[in-house]
Amino acid sequence: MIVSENLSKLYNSNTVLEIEKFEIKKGQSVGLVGNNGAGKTTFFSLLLDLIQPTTGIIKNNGIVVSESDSWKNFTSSFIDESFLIGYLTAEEYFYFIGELRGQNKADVDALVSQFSDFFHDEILGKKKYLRDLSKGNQKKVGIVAALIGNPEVVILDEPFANLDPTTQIRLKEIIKELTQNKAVTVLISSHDLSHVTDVSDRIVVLEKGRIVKDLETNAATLTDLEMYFSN
Amino acid sequence: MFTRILKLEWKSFFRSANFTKGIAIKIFLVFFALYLMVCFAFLGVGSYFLVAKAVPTVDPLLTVCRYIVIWFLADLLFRFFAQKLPVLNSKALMVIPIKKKTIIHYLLLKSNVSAFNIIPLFFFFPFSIVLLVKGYAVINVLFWLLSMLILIQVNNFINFIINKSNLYFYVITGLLAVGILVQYFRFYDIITPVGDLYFSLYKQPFFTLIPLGLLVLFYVINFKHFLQHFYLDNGVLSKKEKFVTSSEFSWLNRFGDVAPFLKNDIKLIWRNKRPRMTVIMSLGMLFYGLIFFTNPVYGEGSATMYVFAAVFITGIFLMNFGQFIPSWDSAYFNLLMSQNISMKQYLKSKRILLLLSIAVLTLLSLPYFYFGWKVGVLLLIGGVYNAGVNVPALLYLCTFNKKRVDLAKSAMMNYEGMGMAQWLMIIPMILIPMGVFSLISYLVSFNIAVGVLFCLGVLGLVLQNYIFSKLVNVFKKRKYAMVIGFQQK
Repeated sequence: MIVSENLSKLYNSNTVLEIEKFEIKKGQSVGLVGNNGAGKTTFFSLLLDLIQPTTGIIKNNGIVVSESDSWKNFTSSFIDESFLIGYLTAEEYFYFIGELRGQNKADVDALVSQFSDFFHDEILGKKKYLRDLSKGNQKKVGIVAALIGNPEVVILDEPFANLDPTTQIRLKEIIKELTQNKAVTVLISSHDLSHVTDVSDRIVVLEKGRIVKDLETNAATLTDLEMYFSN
Repeated sequence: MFTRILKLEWKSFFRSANFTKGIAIKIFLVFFALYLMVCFAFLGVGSYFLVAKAVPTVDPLLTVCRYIVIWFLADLLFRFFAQKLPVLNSKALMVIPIKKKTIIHYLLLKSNVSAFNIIPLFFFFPFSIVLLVKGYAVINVLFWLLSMLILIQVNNFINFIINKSNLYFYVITGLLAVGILVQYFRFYDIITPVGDLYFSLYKQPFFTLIPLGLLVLFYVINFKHFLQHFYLDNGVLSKKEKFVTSSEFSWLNRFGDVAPFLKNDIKLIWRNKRPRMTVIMSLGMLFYGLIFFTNPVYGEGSATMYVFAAVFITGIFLMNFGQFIPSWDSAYFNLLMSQNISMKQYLKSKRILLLLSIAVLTLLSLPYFYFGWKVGVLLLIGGVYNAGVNVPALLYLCTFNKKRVDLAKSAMMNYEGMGMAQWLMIIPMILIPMGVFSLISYLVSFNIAVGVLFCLGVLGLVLQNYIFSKLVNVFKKRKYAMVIGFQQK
């Protein structure tokens, strides 16, 4: 589904990302881990065509992302608060995203209502603009909005951060449900090794812009990763 | 402790993104400040003689004192909208061992360093010198000057408290409103006795104690208010929470695939301080035409100033709001760039918004037909020219925008987001229409000149799809620079 070739990103001759060949199959759920500055967000930004690669290309379902907009039809993402429109209420934001993704209000209502426990009564009907919500609640809105309109590729940058424990556990269920039919490709980054191994089929470890580990998840993966990061 | 806070302030000033903003804006600001100072100084020197001539029977100082009442009111009004109250990085300072009182004293004193407190000095000092030259008693003049300086500070602190406390806002604006109404409907003449009071500050030097008392009073009120409310959730350091209602604007659905954006833009304007103020100021500028159309001098000959007024009035929104496309969306630009929309749809929605604004403003300016067919026709032509030429020209210049705009800040005297585009805008907006018009009407005739402007506009409208597809490509290329620029606060 996602293929990158010869991808690199340099800032003033300072290499922040250099990945020779990388491929994610359709329906796979991939967890990206790595310390700060490893290149996770850079990779996401390249994948979303928010920055230009110094060399190489990324293809999303065969479409070179910097050449055509059509990957946007089936890709949705939540990276950070710059994906939220601060002066809208949560409902208005969901409907706005819904309209962009060809969903009417009823569709959006039906989808959003599935997440009422995730929202914990703190989002819907609160008559507050998104800018006045807490960081954690903003994040919940962003994540749910990324699920509107049956996307085939879902990209979430550190979805577990800032969430309370109950919501973290619920979010894991949501991601697992999303990937169980192997129809949706999910790409998430996280600093929480145990959560990310729980929800991913595959873990990719980045260090200083390079892939240093690429593992199929199994019972030993978490211990492996903990070993790796404690050195 | 004060010096430590001062050092922090020093760093925050020189390291702020504003300090590194474009040289053109700095020069402009310096010139603007100089201009104001010179104006005030002239006013200071000249007002004595002007007043002496206009009202020869009364002591000129007394007359000036009566006008100063209005000055202080206007000053307060202008401060309320435009003066930026000092904020410290208080959250960080709250938890480290600095006395609360020190921080509050500091915040209050810092508000003194403001153009609003400095520029009036350029009036009062020359004026006092003129008084001395004219033989007014030295001691009395000096104390009168001192009183005026103190009253400027009183205004400063009144503005502070009405900005921070709803109670004081309602009480003080209520009192002022009653006073203005009483004066306006001539129930009772307030200005004269208050002016006399100001005059008595000259007559009786020890009366200076009254403004001094007021100053202490308002300082203490501010200090107490801050001390009580120096908590994060209390409105002094943060905004109060408001409950809002969702709205739909479903009538905009007729615009098809760009409807979601139009709805969003209307919410953007309505719910955020800076765009809202921009639009309100634009509507106020509709009256700008009165300056030109009521004065027959501008209508003689080729009436070039009418062309300026016509293009300006029908294109105010285009200029004021349009200049910051797409910076208005800077806070969530990444979302728009990765959502399921094409650059073309996005820009199309902006273009429709601008065209709608021109249509509305042209309709609103129809009453100007009262000033004759020449004015009316030029306003219509101005609308067509704006729609055909200025909309694509402005959208092209917008591709240079890559500075973030904070929606929550005031629009007055706000240079955030200004860049090259804002200066180049003058060319298609003002220079070209006025130049082309005056040249052709000089060489050929008024009618042909009107026709040429009209044809330019129509040509732009005919070619709009072609121009627009070019624009989309330019935007696509500039997108990455915008993504980076809009992230920088």
